Amino acid sequence: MPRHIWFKHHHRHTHHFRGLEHPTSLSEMTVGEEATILAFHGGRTVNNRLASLGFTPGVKVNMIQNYGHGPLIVTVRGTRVALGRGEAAKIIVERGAHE
Amino acid sequence: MSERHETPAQTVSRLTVLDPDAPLVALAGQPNMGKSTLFNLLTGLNQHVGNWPGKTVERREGHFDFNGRTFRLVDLPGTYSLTANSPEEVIAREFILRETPSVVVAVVSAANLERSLYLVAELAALDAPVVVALNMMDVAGQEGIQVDAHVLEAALGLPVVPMTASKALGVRELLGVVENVLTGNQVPSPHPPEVRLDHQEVLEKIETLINGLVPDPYPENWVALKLLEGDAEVTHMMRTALEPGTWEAVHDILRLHDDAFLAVASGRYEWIGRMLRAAVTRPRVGQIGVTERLDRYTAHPIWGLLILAGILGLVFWLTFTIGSPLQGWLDEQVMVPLAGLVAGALAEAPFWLQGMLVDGLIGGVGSVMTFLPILVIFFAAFALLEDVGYMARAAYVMDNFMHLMGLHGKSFLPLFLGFGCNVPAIMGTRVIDSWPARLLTILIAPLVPCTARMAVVAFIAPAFFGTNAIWISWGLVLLSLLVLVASGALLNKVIFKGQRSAFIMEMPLYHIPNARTIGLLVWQRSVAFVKKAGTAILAISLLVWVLSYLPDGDLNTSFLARFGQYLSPVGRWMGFDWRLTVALITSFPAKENVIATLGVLFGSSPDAGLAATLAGTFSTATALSFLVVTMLFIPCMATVAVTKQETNSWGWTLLSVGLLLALSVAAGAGVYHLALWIGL
Repeated sequence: MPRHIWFKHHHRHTHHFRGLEHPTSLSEMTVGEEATILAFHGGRTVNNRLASLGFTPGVKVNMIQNYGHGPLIVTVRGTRVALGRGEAAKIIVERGAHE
Repeated sequence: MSERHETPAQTVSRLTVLDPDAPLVALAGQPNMGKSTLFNLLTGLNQHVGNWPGKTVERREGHFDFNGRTFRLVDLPGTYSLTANSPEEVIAREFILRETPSVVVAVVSAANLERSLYLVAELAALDAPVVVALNMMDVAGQEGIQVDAHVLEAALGLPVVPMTASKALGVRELLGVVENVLTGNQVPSPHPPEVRLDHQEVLEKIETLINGLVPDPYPENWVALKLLEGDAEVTHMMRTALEPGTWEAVHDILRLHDDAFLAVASGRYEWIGRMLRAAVTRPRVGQIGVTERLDRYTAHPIWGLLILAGILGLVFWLTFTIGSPLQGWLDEQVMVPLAGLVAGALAEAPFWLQGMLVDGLIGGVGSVMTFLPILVIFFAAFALLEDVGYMARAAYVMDNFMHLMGLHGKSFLPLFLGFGCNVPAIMGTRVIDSWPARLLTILIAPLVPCTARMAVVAFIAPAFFGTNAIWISWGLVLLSLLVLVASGALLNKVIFKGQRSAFIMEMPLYHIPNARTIGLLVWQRSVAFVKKAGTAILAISLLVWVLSYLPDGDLNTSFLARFGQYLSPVGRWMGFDWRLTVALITSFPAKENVIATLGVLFGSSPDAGLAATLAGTFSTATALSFLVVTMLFIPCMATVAVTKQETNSWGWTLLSVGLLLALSVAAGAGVYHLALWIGL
């Protein structure tokens, strides 16, 4: 069951964001880019597993490897995590980092 | 908490060799934190590997002595959290709650404290007597991360012991603290994390609703937290435990807050953040260095595949240059003389006893055992690659390919292990976190050509194809893999409705392998294989021998031969006579039996002209068909036994056997008629 969960404390002061103001999916990020996680679209189990690995709203992720197809690698909270493209597509992020 | 120390878990009684009153210590930790290294360091060979009751999750326990006292040590499954996402998480938390270990040692990595404290945050909420083993201090030092253990200890409210398990540093200190907690000289009093501010009110509401209604031994505030997290097991438990009206009220709150798991997780990470700000200087600087540089190649979509191919090639090369000659040597220099010796010693004994021991026991179990050197090489290569951290990269680069079957990268690892032997391959599917994906991998794993099948091919192919045998062999391997991918894709569509499980995998930092860890892993896996050979394989070897002996001691007229003749109409589709059919049937106890059976049936030993006899008897079309069927035929009995064990279902086990039977007969008949048609 897909679910749509927005970060309740979504910051309004968008001037802290670098680049685009509209959200995009993690799979759209290019290598070297930094992004802030906003929400998850996955199923409950996947969401829970992501959360326990450190993917929570507001956290910064860095794209390490993304060739536009196949799985990708990001770092989150100092850990390198490989994600299937499908899973990454369900993580909604905002480009850039905010404090 | 003091009660806990006075009643040191008499409830656990599975370890027979030890005084059940010995204090029980549990090791908890996330994967890749050095938990196994610490376990191996403490217990050495004083450990026992089994399964958790009713689960196919490995349970390791052992014992160690410290200051004249013996401790029992249980290694809990490595988990990232304690939410019921997988059987491992449920096992870990149920153990802590029900068996109430005297001390829970939580292994965390000083080099990756932010993520590894997440499990500590969960343990703190369980009110368990936790001691934090701050492992990998050496890696942290190299990365320029400084952790002040005293500050961390004060902030957590839990004893913290800095250590480096891979170099055996800090272990005595750790055990000293464990002993202090046991004797009550040190009392862990954790300051557990709180839910993020915006959900605290909701949590209190739930706590009020379930107050006094939570079954033992679950702490109420913990249950409330797990409900909020959407934990499936706890939700189910409370739905049964509560009156329908109360559950309705709880459920309404939960429905309104189905994003609450984020508030809980965020709360834990905020708590961790406070710990880090207090105790860590220069966190996360240079976290990736060597790893980042290596991953540019090992995880690259093209370089990564080439490196993987190179590594696999090297493993095969090692297997066939060291393992195969050793296997042949064991067979010729140990098993054959042993059989001769036993036969001589039993010359006066009844003929059936001699036959049973020589042909049944030594011929069956013995021939399986000769494959141990090959397996040891495979196990060692795997353990090394795993310990270095490479396996995650292999899974990563194979992810795309595995999608063809609706699987993801993690399924590749057990399948590769299957080239050595299908038994460890099926046991290795435990790394796959979703059950449908694991089941599918178990079903297709027997299609990976194992060394025993390759041994049959290596004997028969040269007899018929001379110098072209090498190409025939490669063709057969390729054919097996094509059939594997095709049946995987088909099974995924038909049985699993094309669903695909999530690929979420940590890429651990590369590190220097630990000889002890690798050695113990190889030892345990080898022992498991030998045990299997001593039980299931022994039983079926004897059965097959009895069938080949009765009623009058002649294989040519035995029940087995009659059975083969009965089945020979099916054999004829594939161009077989009854002898080939019988040989195929005897491949069930062990694949390489095919050669031995043919030797008996044709009255010539494999060394003395059996190959020539076969080449003179059968057409090339029959040979091709026989080779194809050998590659794809039903899994050997050890594989069937382990399939039953891992799926815990006769249905799936029979499906696995039926699938391969149908595939092999169809492919054999197809190849035979195709070969006839092109005039072979």
